[in-house]
Amino acid sequence: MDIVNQLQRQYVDFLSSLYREGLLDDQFLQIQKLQDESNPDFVNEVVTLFFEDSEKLLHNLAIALSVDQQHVDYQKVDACVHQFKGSSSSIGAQRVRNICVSFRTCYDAKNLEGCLRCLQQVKDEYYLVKNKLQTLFRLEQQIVAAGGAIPIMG
Amino acid sequence: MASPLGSSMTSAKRQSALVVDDDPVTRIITRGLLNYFGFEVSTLNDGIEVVNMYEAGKGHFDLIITDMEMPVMNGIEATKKLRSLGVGCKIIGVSSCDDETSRRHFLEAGLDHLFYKPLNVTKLQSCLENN
Repeated sequence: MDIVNQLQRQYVDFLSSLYREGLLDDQFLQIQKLQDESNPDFVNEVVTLFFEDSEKLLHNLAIALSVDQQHVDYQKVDACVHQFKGSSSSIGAQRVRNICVSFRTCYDAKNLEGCLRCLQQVKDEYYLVKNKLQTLFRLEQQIVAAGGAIPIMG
Repeated sequence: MASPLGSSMTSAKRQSALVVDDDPVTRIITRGLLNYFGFEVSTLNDGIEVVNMYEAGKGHFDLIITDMEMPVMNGIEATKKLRSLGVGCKIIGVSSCDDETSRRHFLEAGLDHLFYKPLNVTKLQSCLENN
């Protein structure tokens, strides 16, 4: 099996695993459909923006939740989590989105301990999907460098 | 790239669309979706900006896609205001609220369609083809 086929097989297996593990959902496939010759870096552009935006939101959440119970600005927490839920949903980062849903239950109840737990969970899921997507893009680069085309998943 | 909706979208003049959303990730994806369907796309960050644009006589779009939840002016208020200004183009709302009461409330504001987030090729295609 030549190197391109090997890399393509690796890519398909890896991307399939991300769907199987629930890290990504169908929305990511929908975004890949939007990439073409006139917009060759669309997925990378979107995901890079997601990374930048997410890290700002996580930073803001950490600040908002670093005060004592009486002084937590739950409206600020709501605004950050709402945006994070929207952006993660838009790119198909399913597990990140699902934690945002649980997060809402905690800040609606003004449960600081619950919020801190959710913040840790959402951070863990975000960094996991970030690492996986970066690995995916590295595989794409290797395929292209080897003269192959990136497989299209159905 | 040929438009998936066929030659009608690529003839003579491309249709124009406006995306209104406070989330930059969703804005860029929605823009990509509309480019896919052959639209020339502009973007704004909040309902107040689109209302200000139309009040100043600078809004001339064939299609507006608006988030329903935005910090300064939400999608409902922006849609009501645009319709009161006589804006007749198709307005599509995108919301994270999927209950029937919210849906009715949004459509009563003057939206032509409402989708539950996230918006994607499949949802938008069904809406644009049933023009």
